[in-house]
Amino acid sequence: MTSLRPDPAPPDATPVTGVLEQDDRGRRGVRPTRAGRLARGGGSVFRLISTGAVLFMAALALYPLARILLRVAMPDGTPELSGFNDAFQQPGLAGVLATTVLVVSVSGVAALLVGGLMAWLSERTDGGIGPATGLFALMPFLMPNVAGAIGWTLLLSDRSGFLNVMMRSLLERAGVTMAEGPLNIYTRSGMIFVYTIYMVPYVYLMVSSGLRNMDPALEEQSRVCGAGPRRTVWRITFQAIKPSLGAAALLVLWFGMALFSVPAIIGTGPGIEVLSVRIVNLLGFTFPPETQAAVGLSILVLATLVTAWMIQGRILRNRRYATVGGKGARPSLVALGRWKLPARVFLWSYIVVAAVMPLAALVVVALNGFWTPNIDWGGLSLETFDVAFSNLQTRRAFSNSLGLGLFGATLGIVMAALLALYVQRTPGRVGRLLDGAVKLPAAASHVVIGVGFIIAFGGPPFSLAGTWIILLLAYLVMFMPQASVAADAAAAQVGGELREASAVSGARGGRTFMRISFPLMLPGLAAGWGLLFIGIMSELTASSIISTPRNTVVSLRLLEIYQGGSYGPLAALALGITLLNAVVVAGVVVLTRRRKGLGLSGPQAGA
Amino acid sequence: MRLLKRYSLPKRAALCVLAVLLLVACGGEEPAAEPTPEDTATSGTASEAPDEAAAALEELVAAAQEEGALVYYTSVSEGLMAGINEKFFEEYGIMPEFVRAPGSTIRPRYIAESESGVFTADLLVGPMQSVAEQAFENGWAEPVQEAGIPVVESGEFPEEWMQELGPVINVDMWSLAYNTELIDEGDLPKSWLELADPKYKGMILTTEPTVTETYVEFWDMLLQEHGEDYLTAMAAQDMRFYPSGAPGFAALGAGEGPMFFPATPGFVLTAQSEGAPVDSVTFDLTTGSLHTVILGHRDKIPHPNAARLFVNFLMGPDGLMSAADGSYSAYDDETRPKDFRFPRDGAVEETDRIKALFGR
Repeated sequence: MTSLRPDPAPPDATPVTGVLEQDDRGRRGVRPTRAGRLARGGGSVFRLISTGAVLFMAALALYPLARILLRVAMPDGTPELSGFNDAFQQPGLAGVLATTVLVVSVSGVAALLVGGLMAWLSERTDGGIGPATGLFALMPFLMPNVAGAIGWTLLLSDRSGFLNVMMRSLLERAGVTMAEGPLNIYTRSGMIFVYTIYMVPYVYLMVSSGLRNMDPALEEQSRVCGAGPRRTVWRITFQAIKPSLGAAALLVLWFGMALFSVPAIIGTGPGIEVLSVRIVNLLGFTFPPETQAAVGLSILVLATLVTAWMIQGRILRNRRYATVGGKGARPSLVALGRWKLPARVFLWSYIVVAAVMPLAALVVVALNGFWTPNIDWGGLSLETFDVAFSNLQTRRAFSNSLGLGLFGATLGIVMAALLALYVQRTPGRVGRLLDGAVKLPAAASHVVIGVGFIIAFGGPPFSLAGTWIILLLAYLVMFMPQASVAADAAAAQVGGELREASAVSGARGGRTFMRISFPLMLPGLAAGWGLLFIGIMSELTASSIISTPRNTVVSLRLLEIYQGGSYGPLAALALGITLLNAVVVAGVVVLTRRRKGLGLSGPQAGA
Repeated sequence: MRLLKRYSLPKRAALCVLAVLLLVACGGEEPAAEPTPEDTATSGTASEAPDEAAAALEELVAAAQEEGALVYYTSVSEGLMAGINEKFFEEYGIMPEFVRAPGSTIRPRYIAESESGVFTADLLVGPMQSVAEQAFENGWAEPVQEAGIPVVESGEFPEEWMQELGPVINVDMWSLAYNTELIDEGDLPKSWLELADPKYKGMILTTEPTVTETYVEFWDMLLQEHGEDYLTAMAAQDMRFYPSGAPGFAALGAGEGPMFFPATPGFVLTAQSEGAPVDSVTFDLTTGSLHTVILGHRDKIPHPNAARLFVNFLMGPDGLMSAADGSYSAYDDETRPKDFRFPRDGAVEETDRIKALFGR
């Protein structure tokens, strides 16, 4: 009996232990051994549960979108499709598309470079600066988008931005007088800069968890064989984290295409319009709403994202990357030598620019009560915080959001893990279709999802309007694509060896999932959990459509304060949300990093 | 912690989540204020009045108090509506609940809910004219004129303010706001027309001109009054545009520019209360953001009597106008700007023309 790993890739992503044989018609193939079959979890109650969970998630994602599509395409029961044509005859659409491509692609590439480099420096070299990198790299991500975008305008607005005022003051001492600038957030490059800052956490999360989870023995072997650090990084490390990079690229693309607050706040003034803003404007700011045109443009976004998703799937199926094996080892860190100082300067500079400065701007505005470059430092007080947090509705909203975030993220990540393993084990179109269905909402504007949920589940027979369940389900659908991408990458890195060993030892599917797959996927799943939790805490658009006074959430309070024009209370509340996000996510990261036995601790722990 | 170590990692994680959820469930909620028996007493004036309207009001109050609750959606400022709720509670012992969101969110939400047979909101309050027609056509709402509202039945509410799509309960008058540290009041323009003077070039902050119907109505008024040349001249003023009034007004306080328009009194008052150096002037010729009411149909909404009582309260002299300095209601004839204009029917049809004139 020959045990082999087929090369090139098998039809599914899981390496299968099997027997090479030839059937009566002369076709050659791999017949899985008992271990292989068991590792797939065939016939177990667990498989039934996981299939049920996957089908539920797929239906949950598709049903509201199908209902809204039906409503738009057949408003009176007969097909009426003329509005879809309007989508592509929108005035200035070519310019909007060109701007979207430019902003998303340039910031996406920049984020991959910066986030990837930061993750590598932190996880695999002696140039890291400890846990500070992880916490601060995620800071823009921990902050609600609307508050982050405002934070950057407070800093870099050409006339009253704190940084510009400080720089002008310094330049004036040098004899240079300027009325505006020298920096300006209200430009294409300003927008690309903020997009990049927001995308880096996605890349950092994915790549650092990939690096933590990769088998360090391969790098060791490369070094033993005489390969230098550069060659090892390129030939081993880079190849090993391809699934994580693919997942990061996909998340960055999804995020970039869907981001609304940043381009709405920064781009409106100078007339820099992107697709996400055009879609929301067609739905909410056009009289009457041009829903068909908005859905038509959403289909365009969908096509882009599906293409990206297929490319990512190809990366995962190629399996030219390392997975976690059965043997444990601690990674040895790359010594950077004379590059150690520049690496640390780079990391600290990024932290100061991306995390500390916008945070500081919000703190100053919260303490001052309103935005002004002429700060009366002696007059700063905590009064705004007091007013913001003594509001009963705000406290209830905080409590509600925290409960929803913890429960939703936990439920969601278990579902995402089940989905990832299901897709791994289910070759062919069925698995891919179900996976695609769950990821489909990534292409839809949150306004569309909010309205879709009201139409699909608000009224009879479900009658969920005003309940916690409808909010929870909507959050799961909206953020499952991101969580699922994280879980896919985590599942792809867990090799079949241990699952097969568990199966051979008599463990059934559920036990193998809980004792082997789930713990091994935890670093990646923790990243996905964080994405879900923060997404739920910060989601604004769909929440404002679905929540009611009885199930109000904190992001809705943020929107209410923003609409009132008060940046002081907005900054105070945003800082509260950011702090809560940071504490919860840091807790989860610490919990998942305290892992012993498999040698998968991060370099900080091992160093 | 030692106890936790006895469990496997997934179990530890699950226990931690469970523990936090329990904490949230036990300690997070604070009881909402309950109406007290003293507060639930009906208005003395109303109950003592012998006429038919007073009797009708008394009957409505009793039915509303039996329902004991009501929910509305609004885009009017939170502080203003919270003040109204307090007054209504003091008067009738019913504390209304509301969802406050931009009109651009309220509209699709209300339409989607109504189409699905979900009627969470008993009424809508704010500039909601664009959904009113659809609401009446589909029977989701009933005209206030036919809803048996006491202030309407008695003729107390001025007919001029009762528009086809609903009563105008309040107008947030558009004004010109300015940063008191950057420009003196004496240097301000004396009219919208003067704002187009090239000497103000580069000094003006404004909201995207067609972002909501109310802004379109404002520009439509100026378009009708001063013609296309005026808008072309304004477009040449090198104005700085903001996605909505909120960031524009915050920018004014920060000194991004000396003047911001069109501004509502709510923004000015909030900014002043926070210490921002801002103030405003209202010109004789102006219009405003009209706050109307869309009353849900009594056969569909959960609290039809409480909703009608609230509408009666909002339309009365103690209603919405009483809580807002700088905004005007049907009962404010004396202090209203001399040349106030109601927005023109069909103003929103000028959206594309206004957009084109501004090159947006």
